[in-house]
Amino acid sequence: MSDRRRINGPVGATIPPASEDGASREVAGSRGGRSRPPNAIRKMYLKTGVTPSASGSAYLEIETSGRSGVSGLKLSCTVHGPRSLPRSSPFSPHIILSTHVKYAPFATRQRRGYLRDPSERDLGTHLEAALRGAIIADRWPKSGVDIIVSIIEGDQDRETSKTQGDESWDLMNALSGCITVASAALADAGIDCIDTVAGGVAALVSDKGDGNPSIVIDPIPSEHDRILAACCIAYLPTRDEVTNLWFKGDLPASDAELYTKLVEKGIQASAKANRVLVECLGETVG
Amino acid sequence: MAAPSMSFPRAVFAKLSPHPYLLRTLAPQPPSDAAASRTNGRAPHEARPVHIHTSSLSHAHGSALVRTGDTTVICGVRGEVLPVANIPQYRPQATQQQQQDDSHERADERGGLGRGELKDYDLLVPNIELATGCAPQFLPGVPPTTLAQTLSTRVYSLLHSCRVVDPKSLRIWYTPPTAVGDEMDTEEQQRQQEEADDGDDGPQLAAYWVLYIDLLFVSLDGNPFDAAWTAVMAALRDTKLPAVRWDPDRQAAVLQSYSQPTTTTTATAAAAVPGQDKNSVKTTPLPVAGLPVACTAAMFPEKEHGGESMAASAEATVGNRHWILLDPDRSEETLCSETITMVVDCSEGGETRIKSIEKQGGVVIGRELIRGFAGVAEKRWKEVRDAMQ
Amino acid sequence: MATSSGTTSIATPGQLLGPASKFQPGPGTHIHNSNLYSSLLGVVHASQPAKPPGPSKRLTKITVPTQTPAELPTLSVSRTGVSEKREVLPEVGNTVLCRVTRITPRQAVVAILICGDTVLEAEWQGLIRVQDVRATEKDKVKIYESFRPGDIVRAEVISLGDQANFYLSTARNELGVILATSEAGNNMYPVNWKEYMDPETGLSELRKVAKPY
Repeated sequence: MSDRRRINGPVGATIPPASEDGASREVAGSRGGRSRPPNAIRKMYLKTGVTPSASGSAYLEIETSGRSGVSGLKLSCTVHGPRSLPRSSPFSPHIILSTHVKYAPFATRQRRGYLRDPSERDLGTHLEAALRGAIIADRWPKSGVDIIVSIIEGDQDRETSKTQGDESWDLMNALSGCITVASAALADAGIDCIDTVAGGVAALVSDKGDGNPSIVIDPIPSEHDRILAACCIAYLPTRDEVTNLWFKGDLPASDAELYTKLVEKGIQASAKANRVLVECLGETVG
Repeated sequence: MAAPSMSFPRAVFAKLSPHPYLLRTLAPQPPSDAAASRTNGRAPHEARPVHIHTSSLSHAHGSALVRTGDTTVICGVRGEVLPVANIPQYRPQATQQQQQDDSHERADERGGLGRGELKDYDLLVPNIELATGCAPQFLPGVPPTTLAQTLSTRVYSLLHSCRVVDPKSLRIWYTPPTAVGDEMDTEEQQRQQEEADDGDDGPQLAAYWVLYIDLLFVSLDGNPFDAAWTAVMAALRDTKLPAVRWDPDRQAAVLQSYSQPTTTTTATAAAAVPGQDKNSVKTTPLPVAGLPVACTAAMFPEKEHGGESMAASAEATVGNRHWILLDPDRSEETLCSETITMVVDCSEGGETRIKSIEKQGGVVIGRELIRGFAGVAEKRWKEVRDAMQ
Repeated sequence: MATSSGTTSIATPGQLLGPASKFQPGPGTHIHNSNLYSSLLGVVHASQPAKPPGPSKRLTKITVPTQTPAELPTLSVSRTGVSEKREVLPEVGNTVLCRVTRITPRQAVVAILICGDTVLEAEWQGLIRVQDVRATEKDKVKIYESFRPGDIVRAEVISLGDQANFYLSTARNELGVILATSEAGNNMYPVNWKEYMDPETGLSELRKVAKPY
């Protein structure tokens, strides 16, 4: 599937250099354990107006954890619109949202291609659901808005082996960042919203040593031995509404309490991110 | 007509008739003695300052963020390993030749051969992504625009023509263990010896580094090529390839950490410098030759609507005034049909070398102007060089 | 019009501004659970109605005399000062400036550039149908004698139109072409209500000329 519109490089397959002895080395070195309290989120840096040519834009950077080799999330979001819909589209009494999430080729350990893969489409769909609940759509009849999030750097441990399957947990953190940064960009673009919406992640983790799984917010997969379940919440604090809930993992059905707790913690994480978001928006105006 | 348009506020005037608006600031009416400037406040030959920030990405081997005004581009360079077995048109003879060249340090002939290697095996893969919403007309979900394709191709050809990267530094060698004992005398060993021409136990070329150079525009406000090229150069200069050892059993390049003994191998032709990288993997800075800098300007004609007729009659052009706008922004680009890009490199002993000239559209920029433009490009080179350091 | 009461502060979307019983919602706000919230990031303006609102127009229906909401101050959140860019959707009654992009015998297609005082970022498409060009002698109007592609036209929005277009009208004296370029490529000046003239060639061209202010 060579794409003639891009420079594809050599015909033969290229492989990233392998690490010394597979995964064995890292387990010894990198299992540092969580460096924050279980209910603390990492520091965020948020800035609006990074793309002056767009109607609205924002940049979000989440602090790297203290340990080396772990990159923090770096996201850039642009909002274009409200603008007229393409001529072919039918009349719409409200604004039509379209969201795109794309990893940069250099965002993750494995080089990403330029075509959107299913996980990126998935992120886009979740992001749309999270934002649609926040936008006052009928303020803008027959118009559309494009929200594009570029993941410049994924929230990923460079050294952790892939075998652990933590890629899917990384998606949760990425989504929560996407929601927060898109909300800031929407506010920057001046699109009417009922509230600011931020993303938050809570996870049920089990660490070596103590047998009881515990719930933490804003988890970094490499800091925990095993993640049993995680959920990403998009939450409107003033309305006390959840606009999007994404749950993945394995929970015993008998313990409904556990699920509720997990969601509550996710809301907590989202509310914390929201405070940073509101603070940042206030600063840009002042 | 001038009279009614004067009554508009500036922003409205700029939107309604951008060409007369820019013309008026460039050529102020006689009563006002304001200096000629552009609508963005710059003088015609004034470029936007460059800001460069390197090593901000942790998954790339080299990276740079370049910002000129409201144009922001991120470049990530990542090396991946291409085993020679994966190269269909691989010519071991040629590389054997090169290796000898290397050992004899015959610099003169190597250049030609090496360049072929770089190009034949496609070891440099630059791609430019504009569909990030960096400007309203570049939205994702569509194939790369013509502009994105053109930019990628221009970067690709400039990388090769300027010989920025020495193919020597991209080779990964494998030295078979010296067969001292007879226990090594296996079938495989024999076969390897046969492959290695005349049973020579010297190092064999096992693989190449392929450099994926990915550029992502975060924000675009005109002059994408200069920003992209600056980002490519800054990221390449920032690139540190990890030291690797070729593992013939796994048919893969294996990262070397400091704890590993490095007796039997040479990672790259260049000497391994202990990298200050946090994660104990040895890295070698990629040698980058020269510092070509691109400098683009657009020609703004006095007449807005004379595009076609002007081309037909050259005399009409001569009488018309025009302005050379260095480092044009997005609104200026839409008003100018003629652009020139010159790539210069003053790093070789202080002498300015012109690496490339590209000129598109229009009939105004002639020999004289191009000659004069070299001086402008030289000035720009110094600005970019200072920003790189 | 309205006098600003001086209480300016910054609001973020979702911020509580006050109870709906005390304020009237203005632009950039919304009501939820009888409270007024901001829906934009911007500066809060409270404005008192300048004059007691008398029956400005003839009452067409009998209303229950409640406490007239117009006596309440209006709270609005505006983007001015926050960002240069503020997209507005053209509304019926707005005066817009637009550029003619193409003409057909039945209509002129325009791109709306400026709505009121706001320079638009996006390009909204508008239509001036042949029957909306002039107020009189509508049956004699020919589009090509009124507009040419590239002209800048002042027009009024008469309908939100269909999915793609706003419907515009130039059927007033002060509406019509305000900037025109001749076939030779020169800017022209208006001569009378239906002609523009090229100062260099001396040729005149037909347009629906806007009466200069």
